[in-house]
Amino acid sequence: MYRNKLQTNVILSATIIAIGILLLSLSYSDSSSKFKGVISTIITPLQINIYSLVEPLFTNEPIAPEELVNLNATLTAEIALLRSENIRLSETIYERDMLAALLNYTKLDNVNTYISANVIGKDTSSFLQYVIIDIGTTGGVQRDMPVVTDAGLVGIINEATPRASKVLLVNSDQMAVNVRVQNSRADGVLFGQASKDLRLRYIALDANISAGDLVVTSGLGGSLPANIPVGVIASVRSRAYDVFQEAEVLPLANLDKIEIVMIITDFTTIELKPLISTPIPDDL
Amino acid sequence: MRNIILGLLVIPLLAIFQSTLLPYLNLHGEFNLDLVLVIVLSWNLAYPNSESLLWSLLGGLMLDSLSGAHMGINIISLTMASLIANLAGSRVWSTHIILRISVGITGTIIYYLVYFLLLTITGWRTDWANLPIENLVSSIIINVLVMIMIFPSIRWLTAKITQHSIDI
Repeated sequence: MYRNKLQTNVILSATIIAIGILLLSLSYSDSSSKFKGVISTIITPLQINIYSLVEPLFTNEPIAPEELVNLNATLTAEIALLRSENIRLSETIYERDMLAALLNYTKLDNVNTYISANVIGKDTSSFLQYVIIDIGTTGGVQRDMPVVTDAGLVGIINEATPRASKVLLVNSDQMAVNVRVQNSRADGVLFGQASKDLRLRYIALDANISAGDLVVTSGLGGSLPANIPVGVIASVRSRAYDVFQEAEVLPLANLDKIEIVMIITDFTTIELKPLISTPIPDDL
Repeated sequence: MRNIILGLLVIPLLAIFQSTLLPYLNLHGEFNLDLVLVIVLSWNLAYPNSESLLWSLLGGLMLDSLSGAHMGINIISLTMASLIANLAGSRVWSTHIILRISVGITGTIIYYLVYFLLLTITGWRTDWANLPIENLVSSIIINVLVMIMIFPSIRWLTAKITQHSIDI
């Protein structure tokens, strides 16, 4: 009897594993994403409701009145400073437009369109850096759209179902972003790490970079718009015998505590494959 | 049959809790509680029936839908871990605490090992040399502790909803 039971359980396990392998092989086709979409359509409303129930438990405590007064004073001073800076920048823009017109040079301002979304969950595996947001294809979200917060780049849309989407975070080890160090204009590639840190690689040895420098997207490769802030350099590793410099980068957005994100909807990734020349066969 | 119905009701909720609630309880990323894994292992240990193995299919399906990894990875990992618990639960001394600890440790290790292997096979960049070992060890410890705590309740529940048969 025990042997029969054991045999049944092993056969059943093998069948379930076979189903898993089948789904895994289908995951490279559209049918798998459709299947995921069906499950997501069922569980997303439940997830949104559960999130709305538990959200108040994790929100920050209200700020004390004295702190608010201090904060108000700081912000008022900051507004005054920003106003003066705004006036100066307006003058600079006017001057730039005038010079551009003189040079018959036109360039559209990079003004993006955004949709905001709430983060309703994170990846069920703590080793994968994804968050789930409550907006999907019905809300105009598509795969590969950039996702930002007021602080900077968060990631890209990796999967979009009708009512929810998954965002691959910038600190994921599956992510590589073409970036530029703002002060030195040095280009590099920012990689996520398994440890959730960011590492900037392929910076030329002669580039002058240092801790505190701002890192922004470069727009190279056409997968992300240029000039989105990503992080600041924390430390630089430069050795004479290396080919490139490396740097540790701290993300500007707090990727562990994202609550609301914005998706840039009017940016379409540029397909570079047609531009890459195919090698001519030797026999021709 | 009641076993499967209960699984259909409980597993999706647990997977949503794992995705929605637990990341906020995880202080500074020091540990991760794999709630679905713990419940599926405990259930298979408490009630080592073929129906209990279907909990791993359902759990894997839910975890995969809420994860960025390819569909099927959690199903395979969870089933392999559950089979260990199911086989161990068939023993006379299945309720002994040492067995619970052993199943918790072995099940979690098998789950992670198969999970990372499948990630690598499916083209994910997995840095085997720099796997977050401390994080994995703390996850194993927390999973085992939770399993020890909840096992009596799971056992009570299985006794309530299932009719025990006597194997001869």
